[in-house]
Amino acid sequence: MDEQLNFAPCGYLSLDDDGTILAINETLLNLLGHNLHELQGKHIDLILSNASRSFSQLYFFPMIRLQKKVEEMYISLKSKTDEEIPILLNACRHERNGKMCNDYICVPMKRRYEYEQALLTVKKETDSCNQLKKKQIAELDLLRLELESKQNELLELNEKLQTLAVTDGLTGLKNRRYFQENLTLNVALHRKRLEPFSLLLIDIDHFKSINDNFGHMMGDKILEEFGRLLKDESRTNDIAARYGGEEFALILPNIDKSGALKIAEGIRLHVENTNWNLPNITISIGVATSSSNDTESAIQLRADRALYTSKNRGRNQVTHASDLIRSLFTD
Amino acid sequence: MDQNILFRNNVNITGKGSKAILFAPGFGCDQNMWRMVAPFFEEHFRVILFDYVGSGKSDYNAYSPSKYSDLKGYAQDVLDICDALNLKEAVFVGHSVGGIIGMLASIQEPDRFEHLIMIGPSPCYLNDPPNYSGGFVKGELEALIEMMEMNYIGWANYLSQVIMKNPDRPELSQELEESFCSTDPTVARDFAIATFFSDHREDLKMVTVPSLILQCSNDSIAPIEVGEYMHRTLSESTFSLMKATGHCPHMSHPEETIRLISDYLTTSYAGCISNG
Repeated sequence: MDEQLNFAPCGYLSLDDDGTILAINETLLNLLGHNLHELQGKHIDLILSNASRSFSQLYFFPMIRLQKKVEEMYISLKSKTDEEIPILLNACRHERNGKMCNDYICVPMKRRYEYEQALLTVKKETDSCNQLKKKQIAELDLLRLELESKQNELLELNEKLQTLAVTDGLTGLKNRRYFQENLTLNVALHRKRLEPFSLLLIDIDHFKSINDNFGHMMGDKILEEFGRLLKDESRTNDIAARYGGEEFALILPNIDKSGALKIAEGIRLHVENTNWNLPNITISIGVATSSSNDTESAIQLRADRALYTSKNRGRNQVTHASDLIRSLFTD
Repeated sequence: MDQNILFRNNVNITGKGSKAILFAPGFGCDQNMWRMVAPFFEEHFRVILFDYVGSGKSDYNAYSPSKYSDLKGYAQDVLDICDALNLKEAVFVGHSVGGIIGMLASIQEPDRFEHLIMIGPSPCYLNDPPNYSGGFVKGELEALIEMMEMNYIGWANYLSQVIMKNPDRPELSQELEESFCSTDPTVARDFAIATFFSDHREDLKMVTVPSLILQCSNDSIAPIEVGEYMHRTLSESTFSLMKATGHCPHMSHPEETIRLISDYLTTSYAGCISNG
């Protein structure tokens, strides 16, 4: 062998097609710890680890046959003392003296091997982390969806509860509590912005006798029907509420005395003229309109007195609290 | 004919005959492997070549880690191809794990196959002492898989995909694209695990299609004991020990490979004729 090739700074090896070692240079022999006579004429398997042998058959062999060259392949050689020596090899296949030869050069890659091992380990860790992350994100997404649907359920339920909490079960009108809150709000609004409002307290006349004569079922039916009528008569912003028993209330925002009287009279007339297909009823109404420095209880009291007066004066009529005061003075 | 399947597995059909002969590559390689053997059969057969999903020019989008974590996934693809081409009583030639894949397919649908020709097959690579010697201990198989991972062969396609996004260096992509055995690294790893850690010894007993085992001398992947074990266990099998060494006789010794396959087929067809 050419002196330069024999001691070149890379291993050199030539094989025939059966894998017999035709030539091997001193550099590679040194690396493997073998003598020339131990390897020349022997099979390449002698210096390959079991994994490398299989790997060569799976990858190296088809590649060199089909492409006539192999570049940058990593395998590991086996030294005389059974030590694994990772190498990087290039190979080419060509005809020499009428025979096919497979020539290899190889360089040890001990440091690079460590380095690539570390890279591979990190890559595997990253891959498994990424997979874990993906899985966790999927789980979180699922949880988020569940949470959203639970939240929606809760919102719906809350809304239902909210409605139930402010609604009178029998008539479907607002209940006393809601009425009270709304009255407070209107009183405050009046103080702040001087927006007047009126309050109607309505009582079904002789309701006790309906209950006595026709039974409570009929009484309830009347309350329901009247509730519906009151609802129909009220505007969007009006608050129609069941005040208690057969007593109802209507808050009329932005309505002054004359407006309130008109609405009250309208309702009264409507009730009187309605054919209920039930015992006919009439209603008495007391009206009060807010004044500055008013309080909830004050306006309720005035409306209540006006209602009392309507009752006293023979029922089926409307009384405004301010007329009541004037008549008290004129009386 | 289902064009999707033919596209998915990069199915290529040549030859003048009517009887189909299917060539299945071994682990991690594509149909190029057969280029020294397959053309010989074109005179009398309809020659069908294909790539596994995840290697060669197959449709990589069709890859599913769960389906292909088991050789049965690959066997299903063979059956899909048979179905797409309406094959009956075809000759199946499989190299290495390709032989096992064909064998699994034949258990599912025996009518599709007339003969199984397996080159260097192994039903189980791991030793199972004391009664079975597959040729490998666990550590050796792990070292083999690690070696695949460390080599850029397995990375070639991955890299080519990365480089393809880099228009400044189109020549690199071209070179890698054409490189032999280019397989996606994840696919290669899954396939390696499905291949080398599988145990199909029990399946051997369920094979009814007649088979030929071509056993190489000095094959470190499928040692002679493994070939003999297969011959003992497979009913109606013929065993042929080749002069060829190594694991790829269809590339190293194409003439001997062709001769043994055609002798086997000629004998069995002659048998058919004389019986008929």
